[in-house]
Amino acid sequence: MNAVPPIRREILVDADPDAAFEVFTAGLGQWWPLGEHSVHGRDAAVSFDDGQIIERSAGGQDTLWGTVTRWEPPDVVAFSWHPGYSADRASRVEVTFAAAGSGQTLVTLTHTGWEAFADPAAARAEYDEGWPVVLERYARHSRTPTARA
Amino acid sequence: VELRREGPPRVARRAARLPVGRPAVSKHLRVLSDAGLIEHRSAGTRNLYALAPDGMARAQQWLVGTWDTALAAYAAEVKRRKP
Repeated sequence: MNAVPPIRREILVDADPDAAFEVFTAGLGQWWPLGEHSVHGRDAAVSFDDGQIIERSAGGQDTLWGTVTRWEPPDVVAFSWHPGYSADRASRVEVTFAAAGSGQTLVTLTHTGWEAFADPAAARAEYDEGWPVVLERYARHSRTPTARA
Repeated sequence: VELRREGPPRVARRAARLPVGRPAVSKHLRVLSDAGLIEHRSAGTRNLYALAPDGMARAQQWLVGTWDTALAAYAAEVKRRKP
C-alpha cells in the first residue's frame, strides 16, 4: 500500500522567526479561521495549551486536535493532527520558520500521513458535525494556492 | 489532464507533447507535487511523476484549501501585529 505523499505549503510573513513562531503558537487563537475550520464553529476557541492543541466550545466542551511532538522555537514546531477524529487516526504536521531577509520569515507547513482525512464517511459516523460540514462548505468555494512555484 | 492517466512519463517526454517549454512543465509539476496531487521520485537524472492514489484527490484538495485558508489568516495576523 502506498503512503500518501506529503502536502507542503509555504508562505512569507512580515516578521522575524521569533515573532512568526510566537504568533503561530501562542497566538493561534487570534488567527485560526474557526468559522470555516473547527469542530464547534466560530464561537469556539483554540489554543496551544501545555503541549496540546485544544478547541473549547462556547459550552466548555474540549476537543483535542493534536499533541506537540517537537517544540524548538523559533525554528520548528510539530504536532499530531486529528481535528474531528480520535487520536488513533492522527496525521502529522510540521511547521518550520526560516529567516528570509528583509525582516521576513518563510513558513513551511508539511502535512504527512493524512490518509484518515480521505474518509469523511467515517468521520461523519463519529461526529454529528465537524469535518463533514467543513467539507461541504469547502466544496462551495475554491482557494488561491500559496505554494511558491 | 489527459496525459495524467498515462502513468509516470519523464518530464522531457511530457514536455515534448505540450505546447509550452520544459521549464514551465517542471514548474507546474512542482506546484502539483506541493499540493500532494502527484507523486515525484527521481531515477538517476530522470524525474518521474505519477498521480497520487485515486480516492485521495478530494481529501488532498480539501486539506490544501484548509491550510491555505489558515496560513493566509496567519500571515494577516502577523502583519496586523507589526509595530
